[in-house]
Amino acid sequence: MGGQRFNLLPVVIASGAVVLALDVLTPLGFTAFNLYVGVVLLASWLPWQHAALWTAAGCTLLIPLGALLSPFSNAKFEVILINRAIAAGCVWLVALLIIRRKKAEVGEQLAREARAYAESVVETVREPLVILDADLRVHRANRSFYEKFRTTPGAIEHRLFFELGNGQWDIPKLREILHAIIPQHTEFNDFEAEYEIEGIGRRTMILNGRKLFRPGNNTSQILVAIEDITERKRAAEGIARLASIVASSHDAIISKTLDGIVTSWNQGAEQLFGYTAGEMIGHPILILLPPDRLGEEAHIIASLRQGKILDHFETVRRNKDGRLFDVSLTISPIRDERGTIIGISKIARDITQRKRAEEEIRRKGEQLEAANKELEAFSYSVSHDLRAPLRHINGFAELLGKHAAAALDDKGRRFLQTISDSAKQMGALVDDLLSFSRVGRTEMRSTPVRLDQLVKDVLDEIQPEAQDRHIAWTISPLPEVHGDPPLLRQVLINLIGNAVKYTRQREQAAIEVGCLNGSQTEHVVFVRDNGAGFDMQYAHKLFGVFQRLHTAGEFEGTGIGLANVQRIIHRHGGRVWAEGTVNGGATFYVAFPARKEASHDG
Amino acid sequence: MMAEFKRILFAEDNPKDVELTLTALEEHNLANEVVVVNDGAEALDYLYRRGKYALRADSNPAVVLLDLKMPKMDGLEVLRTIKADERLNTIPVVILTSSREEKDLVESYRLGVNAYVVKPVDFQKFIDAVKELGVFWAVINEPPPRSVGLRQDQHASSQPR
Repeated sequence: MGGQRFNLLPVVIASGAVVLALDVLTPLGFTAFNLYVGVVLLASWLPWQHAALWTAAGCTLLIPLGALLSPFSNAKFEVILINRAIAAGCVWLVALLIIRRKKAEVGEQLAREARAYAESVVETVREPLVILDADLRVHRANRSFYEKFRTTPGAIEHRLFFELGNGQWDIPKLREILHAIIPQHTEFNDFEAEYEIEGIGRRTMILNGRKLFRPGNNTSQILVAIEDITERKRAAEGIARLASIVASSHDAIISKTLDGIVTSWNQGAEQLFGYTAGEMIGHPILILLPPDRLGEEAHIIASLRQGKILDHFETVRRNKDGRLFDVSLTISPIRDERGTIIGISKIARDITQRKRAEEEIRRKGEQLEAANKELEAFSYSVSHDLRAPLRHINGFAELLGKHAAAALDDKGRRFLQTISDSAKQMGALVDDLLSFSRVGRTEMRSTPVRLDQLVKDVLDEIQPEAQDRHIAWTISPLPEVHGDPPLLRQVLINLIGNAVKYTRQREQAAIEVGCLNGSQTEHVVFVRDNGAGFDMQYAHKLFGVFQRLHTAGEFEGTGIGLANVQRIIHRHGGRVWAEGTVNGGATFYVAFPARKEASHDG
Repeated sequence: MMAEFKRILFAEDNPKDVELTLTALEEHNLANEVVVVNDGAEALDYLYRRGKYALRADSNPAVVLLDLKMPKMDGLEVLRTIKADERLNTIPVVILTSSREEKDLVESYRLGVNAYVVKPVDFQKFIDAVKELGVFWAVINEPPPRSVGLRQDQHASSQPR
């Protein structure tokens, strides 16, 4: 197209030459010079803005030239001059008109381009924009606005801005500032408002508004830009929360570069190390390391570079006063978005107290162990030494009985018998006490134990002793528990044996072994009898060592059985209790933890 | 002084226990077969024919009855020594003790004891236990060679019977 325009130039020149030729060759009266106007008109098509003027100038030179060269130039000089001047004036007039017209065209073009440009900017901006007319009705909005607020041009155009979203923008303060924009030439920034978008939820928006002048028709509009800052706000709140946690933490939280230069230093760090943030930030962290541990830092950084995290690394650090103290360090790499390690974060905790406590616990443990050993030695010695004299009393009483048989009367024999019986009784006590001590000391195995089977075994063992008794046994299904089979067997022997013993005076004894239902956390097994029972006010004494609620005359026994039961069950992490009434029978309950979590007390 | 050999070596520090035990053995006429030593060291002296037993007849007893808790050297140590020495380890050893402690039992059997008897407090039971022990080990049980006069070692020392 450009090439076509360029081809016009010779045409214009040629047409100028033709007009000049006509002007020279035609007689007077044929005012060919007026055709120069046509040349100028033709030149208006040339691509240059001022081509018409240059052509007019050229024509102005040619107009008198034609008169000079014409052989027919016999008219009066004045007439020729006036004619030619009028022609030149016409040429210039046409040229000027053309130029003006051209200028207007260019302006319009520019305005069109500017509008298109503005339009594309508005449409491309990712923030929702809405343009309001002076009466605060929506003129139009951009695509982002429609997408963000899930609406359409038809739904909002020509409606009052305050009516949008069921009046959610109808906020008195916003009304006030929007109304003020055009008359007072004001603008506003960062007006924050909550806005509920259907199907998305509550969002936090900020609005910015300013006046737009439309030169075309001399009216003003308002551009309102809306930004959804919900995420940003949330992130900022998160960061603020983290920052306040870091700031208020008692642990020292420090960050540093890979070169060991401190980049952040919280209050906890100030307290722990005694240096202020101002003293540390920008300085090497090595100042905190005792001289004999300087090598540690290189080791730490080397392992972090490999992406390792040092968790609860216990070491020694030095504070501003030069005091050394135990710390536990958790050190991890700080990575940027691409995963590159850009720094190191370090949480340090003073564990001097803990170390001291650990030391204390260890010492206590040793003491306890020593006490335990002593106790063991004690019971060993009881086992061995206490029984020997009893054996001797017994033995020599018998020997005396034989030796002095003739000299003894019934009374004397009874005295000797009492001596023997007492010694035997004490022997039984010593044995029971030892068994009690053993229950606490022997190592415990834990395996699944089928209580059903265990009860059956115990009954097989006990029943022969109760052959001549009338006992109605009720044995319900029992659970499987975790525990040490011999110890649990001892528990059942004690409980069932007691039930048999304390129902001795019943014509018809009834003994029930069962399991309570309903607890998720434990299995409760009970042994119930209709025997002598006990007074609940002494229930707390039942499980004490050598505590008895009946005299030896009523029911024999040493008072160790239930103490053993309690000790064994406690070692299994369970509990025992009992209910009873005097002469109304007793029920003993044993609760086993449902899961295999037996505690191991000393 | 101890020229004649005896079938039972009885190590017990408590004279009352010794008396009761001997009384029990008397009923089967075994009391004369008993050499009583009062601690572990003396028991080893007897077995190795050292000190005051240097001149005793050269033969091993048919059984050693050992108390556990004795002065100087306790029963477990004696047992360990006996079972570690191939000249002695065929001698049956019976622990006769007041201790019912599991660790004593375990340790005794680990060392190779032949029987472990807890002395009953009840005298009659005690008598029965000791009698049975004495009869079983000294009379019924066939002792290993080299004991009770059957010993034939390379020195072929005199064996007065």
